[in-house]
Amino acid sequence: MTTWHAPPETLQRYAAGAVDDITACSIEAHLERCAACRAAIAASADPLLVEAIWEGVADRVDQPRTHLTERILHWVGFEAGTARLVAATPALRLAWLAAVALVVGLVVLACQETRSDAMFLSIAPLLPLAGVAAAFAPGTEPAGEIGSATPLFGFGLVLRRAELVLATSFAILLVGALALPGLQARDAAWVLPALALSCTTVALAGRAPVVPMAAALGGAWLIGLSVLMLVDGPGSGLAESVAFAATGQIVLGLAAAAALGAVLVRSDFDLIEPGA
Amino acid sequence: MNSSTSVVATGLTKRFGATLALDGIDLELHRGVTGLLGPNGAGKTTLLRILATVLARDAGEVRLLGADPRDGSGRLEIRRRLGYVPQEPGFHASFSAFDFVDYVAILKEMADRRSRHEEVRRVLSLVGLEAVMHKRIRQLSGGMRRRVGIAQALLGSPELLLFDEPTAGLDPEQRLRFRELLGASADGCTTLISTHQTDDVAALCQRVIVLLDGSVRFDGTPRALAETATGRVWLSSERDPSARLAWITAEGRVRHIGEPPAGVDLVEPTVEDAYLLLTGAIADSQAA
Repeated sequence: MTTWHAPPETLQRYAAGAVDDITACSIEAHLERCAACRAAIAASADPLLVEAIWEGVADRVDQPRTHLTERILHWVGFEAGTARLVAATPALRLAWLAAVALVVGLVVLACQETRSDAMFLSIAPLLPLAGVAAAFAPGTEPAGEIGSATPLFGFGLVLRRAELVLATSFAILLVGALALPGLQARDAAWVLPALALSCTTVALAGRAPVVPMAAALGGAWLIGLSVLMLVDGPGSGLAESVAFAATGQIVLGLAAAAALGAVLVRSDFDLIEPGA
Repeated sequence: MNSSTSVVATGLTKRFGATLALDGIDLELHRGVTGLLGPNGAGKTTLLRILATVLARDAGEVRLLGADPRDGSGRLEIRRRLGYVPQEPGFHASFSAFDFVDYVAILKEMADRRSRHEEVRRVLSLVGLEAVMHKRIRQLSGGMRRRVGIAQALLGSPELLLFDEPTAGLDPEQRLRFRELLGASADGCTTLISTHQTDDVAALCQRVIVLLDGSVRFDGTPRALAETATGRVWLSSERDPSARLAWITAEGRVRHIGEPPAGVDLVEPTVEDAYLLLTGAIADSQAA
């Protein structure tokens, strides 16, 4: 068997990228097997080009795995780095969103069974609350205390996470609300309490520990509904609660606006101590 | 204040409930490596957190790299030139070393992926982790995790480096490597290392501050600290009960610190001797 080696001038031209594809293919196939020709070409290879190719390979290999949420955010228009930072909160992970959707689905089914939207209206405000608490809970910043000493960590980032969590929870709840029996205007009565509870949690972040505060607010909401039911007397159920009627909605709307104002006034979110 | 003063604090105070963690601290840090020595509860971590802009002070003035961390834009400016290694990094251990440092690099405003990844690889090889950089952090040993924490602090070649117990859990070879690393990257940088390791202080630091119960008890060179124990350290073959502290050395003799009786074998004090003497003296005077 004759051993074919590429002539030196051809190798030089190949190294300079000046051969046609067919020749390049046969040279490359040969180079994989022939150490002598590899050594010969090494001298004429452009070191900058080799360096750049190597960096490119290393870059692809080092590319961190991106989560689905991050890819969606990037697709929606967030810049890649920002998408990674924002998506890093657990409340935007697929598992969390699936759990929320499941709960909403179950509640809607129960409402269809009972032909009443009361359960949905009572429970719906708690879901965005839980998500926002998760976005703000200090222990969920993936970079921990290290992250809180960086330039991009701060109110902007955490708030952006909370906004997205609110948006996704509201979207899921909206889909659920549309499936409620006998659609009526009152089926939107969960929106203002949801906003009031979530914004109050955000407004108090750092002044009071987030998760217990969110739990307390959620509990206060449920207790408040129960108290209203008792005050209204027997014979009137949750569905007729004043919380879901015009008066209640106005009060809840004012509470939401006040909480939102309190949030906008603060400037020290990034000094919240991790683990606080 | 000359141009190489990076940190100036006056009357720095921090309280946690009824506990006064920092009691009106005054200090200045310049370029070079400063050690912060003190027992647990002395306030070292609190001080570092305030300087790292992750904790707000209650009272006093602080200027870091010319800016005040109380003010939002000042905080941003400081954080752009700061590297911080907390005692408990608290990172999610499911990250790989590379992913974690890359994530922190994004937080440090390195938006361009190519150059960011180059920088991440650079700092990971500075700490010797290039072979394991794609392993999950939870699969790494304690010493390697600590090195991941150190690597992220070196991103972007900061001007102010704050380390909280950086060598805890590192074996002697890794501690030596850390010293070399600091020597190489600390040029033109202001570094503050909070530590219990008096030999690290003696080897690395141009200055040492001893913190006890929220107050500065010593601020000077390691040599000057060691000299405060001159004439108070001696060796003998048996334990002398009049010494404040005594322990058996590797050579089998007993090293004592305290007021020496006449005629004993005085030895040259180390930084550790002086530190133990200083903290012991203060503990005694508080008990009295």
